[in-house]
Amino acid sequence: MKFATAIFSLLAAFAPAVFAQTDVSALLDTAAAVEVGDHKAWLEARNAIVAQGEAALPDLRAAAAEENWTREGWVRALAAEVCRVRIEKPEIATDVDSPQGLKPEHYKKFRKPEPFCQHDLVKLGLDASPLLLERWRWTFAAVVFSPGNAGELERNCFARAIMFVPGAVNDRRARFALEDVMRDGSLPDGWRQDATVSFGQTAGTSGLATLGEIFDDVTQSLAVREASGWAFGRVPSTRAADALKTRLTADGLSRELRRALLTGVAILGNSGGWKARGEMLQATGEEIRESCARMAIDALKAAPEDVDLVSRALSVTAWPDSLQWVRDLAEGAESETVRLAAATCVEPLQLAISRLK
Amino acid sequence: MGKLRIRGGHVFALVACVAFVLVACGGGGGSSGGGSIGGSNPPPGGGTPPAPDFIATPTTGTTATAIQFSDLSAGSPTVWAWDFNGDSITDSTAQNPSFTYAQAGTYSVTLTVSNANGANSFTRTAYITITGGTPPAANFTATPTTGTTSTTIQFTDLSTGNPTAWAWDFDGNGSTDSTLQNPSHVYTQAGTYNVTLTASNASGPNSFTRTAYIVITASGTGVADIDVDSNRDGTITAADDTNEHIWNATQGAVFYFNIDDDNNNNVVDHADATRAATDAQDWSRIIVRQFVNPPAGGSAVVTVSTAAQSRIRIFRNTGASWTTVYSTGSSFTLPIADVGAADIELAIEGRERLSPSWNGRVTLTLEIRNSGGAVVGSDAVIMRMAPPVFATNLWEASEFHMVNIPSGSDHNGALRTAMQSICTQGGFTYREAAGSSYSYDRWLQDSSEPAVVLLPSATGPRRIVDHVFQCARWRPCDQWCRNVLWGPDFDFFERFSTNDNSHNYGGNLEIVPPYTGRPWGKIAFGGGTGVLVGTSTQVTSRMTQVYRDFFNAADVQGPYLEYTSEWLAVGHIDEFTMFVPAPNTARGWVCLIASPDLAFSILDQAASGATVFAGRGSHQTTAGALRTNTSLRNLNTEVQARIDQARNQIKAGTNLTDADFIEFPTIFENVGQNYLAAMTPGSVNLICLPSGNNTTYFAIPDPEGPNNASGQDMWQLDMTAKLNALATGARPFSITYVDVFYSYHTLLGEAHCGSNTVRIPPDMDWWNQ
Repeated sequence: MKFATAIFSLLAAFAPAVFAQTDVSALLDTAAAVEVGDHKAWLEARNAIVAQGEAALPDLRAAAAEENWTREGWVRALAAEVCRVRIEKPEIATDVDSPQGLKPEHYKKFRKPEPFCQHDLVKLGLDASPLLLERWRWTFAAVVFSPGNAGELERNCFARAIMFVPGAVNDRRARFALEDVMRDGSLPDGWRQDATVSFGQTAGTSGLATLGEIFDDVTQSLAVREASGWAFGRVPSTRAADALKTRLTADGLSRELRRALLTGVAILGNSGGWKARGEMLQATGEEIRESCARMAIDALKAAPEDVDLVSRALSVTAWPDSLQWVRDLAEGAESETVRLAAATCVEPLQLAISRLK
Repeated sequence: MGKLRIRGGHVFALVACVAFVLVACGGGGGSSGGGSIGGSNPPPGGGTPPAPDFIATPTTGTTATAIQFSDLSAGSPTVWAWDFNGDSITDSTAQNPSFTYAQAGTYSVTLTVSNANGANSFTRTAYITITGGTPPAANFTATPTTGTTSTTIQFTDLSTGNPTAWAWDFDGNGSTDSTLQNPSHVYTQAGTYNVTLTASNASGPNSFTRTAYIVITASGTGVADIDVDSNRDGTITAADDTNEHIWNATQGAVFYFNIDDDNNNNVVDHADATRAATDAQDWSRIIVRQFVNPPAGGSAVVTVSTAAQSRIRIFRNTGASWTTVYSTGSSFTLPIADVGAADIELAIEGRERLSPSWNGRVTLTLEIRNSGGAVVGSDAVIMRMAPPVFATNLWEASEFHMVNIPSGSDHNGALRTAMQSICTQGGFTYREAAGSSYSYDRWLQDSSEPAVVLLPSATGPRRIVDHVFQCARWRPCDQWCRNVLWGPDFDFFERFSTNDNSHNYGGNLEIVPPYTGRPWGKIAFGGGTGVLVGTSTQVTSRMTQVYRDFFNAADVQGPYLEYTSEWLAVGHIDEFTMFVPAPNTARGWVCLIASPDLAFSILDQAASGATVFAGRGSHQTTAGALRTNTSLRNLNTEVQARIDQARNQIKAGTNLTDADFIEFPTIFENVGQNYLAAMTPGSVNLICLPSGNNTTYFAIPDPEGPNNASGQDMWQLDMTAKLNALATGARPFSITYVDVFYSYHTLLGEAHCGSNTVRIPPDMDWWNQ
């Protein structure tokens, strides 16, 4: 027995990957169980998996399969995906772990000498997303920032980038992590706003009910409710248009929330966004753009004081018929305020529509 | 019975009756109610002339009210003559006329009616009362405006608006000295007088004062005379005496804000304890003329206008040297004996910047006083401190400056090599700031803004002082202009705000080139209040108030034009607009403007796999990936709307039309917290160097766009074609695309941001515009 044990230990020492293959699932269980913010335990658990190298990849891929990204299972799937990327693409891990734009020696070279890292992280693509979520869940508190105000800027920059990037790369897997941030009232509003917008982008129509819940919840901070109004626009569906319309016409809507919804209208109806989605969605896009243009026109009649956001919504939607609707209001609306507001929309809308041709 | 009234040698009976009823009374007519009646003799053997009467409705009103007059005459009149305003001039011959009074007042109205038997008149006195209307606009002139106590000064009313009364105050003591329209006056006391004319009509009075308008010296003594170069020919002669107290496009002396460094001691000259001998060349001359027979025990006092006090310094030439005679307070005194002996040469320098509390004007008033302090003669001149005139991209370049970043992944060797070549071709002096001396801070454009100061000169049409305006930025290379450029006839205008918001940087300060009504163009910068892209979060970010105030005070290129840039991370207008020469256009220049829409339109035509940012690590992508990136395209559609908003603001603030904007393909991205920067190297953010050889050299950030089937960059092709269409054979363009990807672009700037250019101003003066 002693001999057998000794042989087994020797094999394990010289061929850890072979030995560990059988343990990946258990190691993932251990890693997923690490408490939020316990970076030491996490690094220990993660490194144990990564140390097994490419041999662990099949198990990691299986653990990170799409069907495992559920409310109950996403943390384990995240642990697996983090380890997979770190084994397969260590260069991305290096860039995510230590973004150039957060280093004072680098960002002080910027034309505006403040930390900016978000756009560089977006360019790393989908694989950067789980690494950022890893950073957020387990190791963010361990990041060493500069002392004083510079460090606060760095910290804020990094946190908001972590929230922003999953949405920008359309990483549907991130929706649960983002929802948790969105709902966490202890976090700064700006972080929650970015998480809310990213949630809209990643959750799709399945997130509309959550966004509606946040928007309608008077106990939530205004900033997060506003962000949920913006996030409706990130869900390219007629259901999102309906959600916006329902709320825009609701009684007692505050001005701030109306402006948030008008922002959602502008994003949802955005002609460039629909062009990017391609020919397959052209009919849907046209239906939604027309709907958004009509919402903007209705808002112009109801709240001409928000003409800046109405005009933006009309211009970016650039629905051809809306030019005549605006002209009609500019010439024939009963209210002089509406007529004047409509008149200011004509020129930018005309230019925006001409750009579509 | 009423009393008899005699008119025209004929007798009629006037009957007092109740109400406005005319009653025939024997051979005459009667009237009452404030009316009076008169008439002509009836023809012999004829019938009775008509008996006039009328009413008006309404009898009170404003200058907008139409008064309807109704004839109530008896005796079948056949002719009616109405005088509505009591000036004995017939205003209407209609039976029932309507009349609208132009001026407020109370008017008597007379109706004269006649038929074959004769005529009668009837007047209702003070019948119509009109209120409202416009008082006159008082104005006047006088000839001469200087003289002695025996000189007759003729005043001429120039008021408009039909004044009917005039009240003149010749000596500013608040009392009316004459009520004539065009009076003359002889002053009995020497002094400088304010003159006020109050002109009135029925709608009210209006006053107009000319300050320090009449200068009277005592007869039989010298004449107080202080002279400056008011005709701006660089010398002071008798010709400068005329209207020397007026500063306008044709008249008024100029002086210099003395901030060059003639002795190279790193102190602005106006603050130097010891001046270089050459510094006196920077001062504008003032001459106090000899005052013959000065009053014994008297004094010669020069008063400095309030706003200019302590903001100027005045020197006196003592022969061997210059001594300061004024630096603070309200006045300075010259020895009366010196003034009586010969002309005295003074000189002035400015020592404080323009601001809302001082527009650079100074009035110097010389008073010769007798031993009792009474003024026996005085004279006044006005001068104005020259503002900096900022360079536009249309001005010929003379020197090109950039910072040398010799090593590291962000070295700028490519741009330096390109610019050295361009400078050789264009005949420009190439100068580098050593990066090692400035912590490798490369953003020279942001550190300062080049300008010139133009002054009248005796040796030529004007004198040019190069001027560098340091921006409120507080980073290392800001000091290059202080360390290297500053010196004799090269100003260093040190930053005057500690607010280092990036909206205060020089990259956010551009000059719209000249256009109709703005011969030196217009200062433009970015900022404002608006929502961040993709949000309803409203932000306000502007250039700091003291800088905005300064640019307006330096009104040769003000008032400033501000357009939206608060949505950008850095916030500079050079990130999306640039004004450049366009010799093939009627205007001579255009505004290059970034266009995300154009960038995507070109991408739409590219092969899906065409590489963008080839070889640039994680930046490298494809045309297909960019055009199908929903978030990116969404964002850029909104950016386009925001840039269109800026375009409309530029149009509204200048006289540009859509045809004056040339779009360059540029894509923007969210770099954090919903603030944006160019994702593609921002080609609008270029270097433009017109040369004396007639070629304009462009160094344009290489956009590194997708190649077409021929291997050509499609974004470059678009821009090159557009630029070449703006050039002519005689004034061609030389276009170089420069690699600034890691050296500037990924550091949130471009080629323009990392450079500065000293330029030669056009051959014209600012003071006569």
